[in-house]
Amino acid sequence: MAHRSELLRSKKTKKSPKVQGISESQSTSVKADFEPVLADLLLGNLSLGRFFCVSKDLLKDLTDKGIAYLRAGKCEDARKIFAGLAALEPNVATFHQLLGMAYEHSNRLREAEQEYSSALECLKEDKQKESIFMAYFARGSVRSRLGEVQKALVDFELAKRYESSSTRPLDKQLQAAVDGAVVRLTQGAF
Amino acid sequence: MGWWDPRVQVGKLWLANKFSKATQIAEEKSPEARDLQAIIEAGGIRGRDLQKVKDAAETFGTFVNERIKSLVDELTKALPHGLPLQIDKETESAAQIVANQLLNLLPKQLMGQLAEPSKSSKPYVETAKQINEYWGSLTLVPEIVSGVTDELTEALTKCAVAYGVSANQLDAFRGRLAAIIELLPYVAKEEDTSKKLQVAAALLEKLPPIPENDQAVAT
Repeated sequence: MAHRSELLRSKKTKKSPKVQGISESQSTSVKADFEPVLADLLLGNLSLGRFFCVSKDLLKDLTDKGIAYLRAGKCEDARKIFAGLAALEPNVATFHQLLGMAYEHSNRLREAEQEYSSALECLKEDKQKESIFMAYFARGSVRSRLGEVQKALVDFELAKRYESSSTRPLDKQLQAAVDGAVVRLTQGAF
Repeated sequence: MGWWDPRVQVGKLWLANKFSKATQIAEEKSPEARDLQAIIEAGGIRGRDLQKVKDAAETFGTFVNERIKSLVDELTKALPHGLPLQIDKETESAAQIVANQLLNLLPKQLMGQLAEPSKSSKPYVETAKQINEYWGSLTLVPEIVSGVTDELTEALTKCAVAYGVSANQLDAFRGRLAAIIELLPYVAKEEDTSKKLQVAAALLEKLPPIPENDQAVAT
């Protein structure tokens, strides 16, 4: 990378800053190569996270920070963080799901429903059954709060479909808990 | 009772199950109750329809199953708060497991999702790195952020025109920029990303305004 003094001199003497070692003609050529990529950035085909080369460690740190805010009931802070993360990496389902939780906590149910739907769009059916189960479960909960009972029940049914296909011990514990809750709630309703 | 109280999660599920069963019983037990069901189905169980449901329950009071009437009363009390009505200890215990599992699992899933190259971004990783080297590294010097964003804005605007990016698409891009800028307070100032977010903020200011109609930016 160029030294600070060189960069500042560059700014004063040229219209735009240049990286050390790249000539004016090379620079123009390099920029021409960037055009399709910049277009895809505008169109949303390239994420801002990739464009700015945001590290995975930072994404993880921010996620942990957002969850801590959520646990502490600081929903607006959590919402800003998860909305930012979802904007940086729109194809990562977890960001949408956490943003959905932040919205739901703030009683912004339509936005929560939309985020859970976005999460489901990002998930690959063959690999992420556990995530799909949780996203359907979460969306069903929101829809039941919105009074859309039939839609909610469809989501719960879909959740159960994915629930049964997980095999890891941790998942089984989760499945047993949800199944047990559903049975008790249904039986106890009347 | 806060969001993370497990009773809230299970309560919502309980409500959905209970309500579904109520409508089923209404249909089976009494023809008159179908009117109540129709109202419930038409209005959902949203707050503004609760009064209609209550009115219907009173109108058809002699025909409607007693449990449905009590359900309507319970719904009326519970829905404005979005809270569960009655949760037994066993259910509460199960819900605690669910809530804890969710919070523990989501970060783990995140690492898995980040480890997989994004299907749409994959072809651009190398070029994005080059772009980052060309523009991104320069942003480490705050004094020249303005120069970087001028050039980047010019390049993006040119691309928007050349590739026929619509006003809606440009608006969505602005939305993404605006969202990531909100991360600034939560990122340490010494982080490179903090500088890049400042570039994003400057970009958002400098990008040309969106045309009023939904035509391509090219004019």
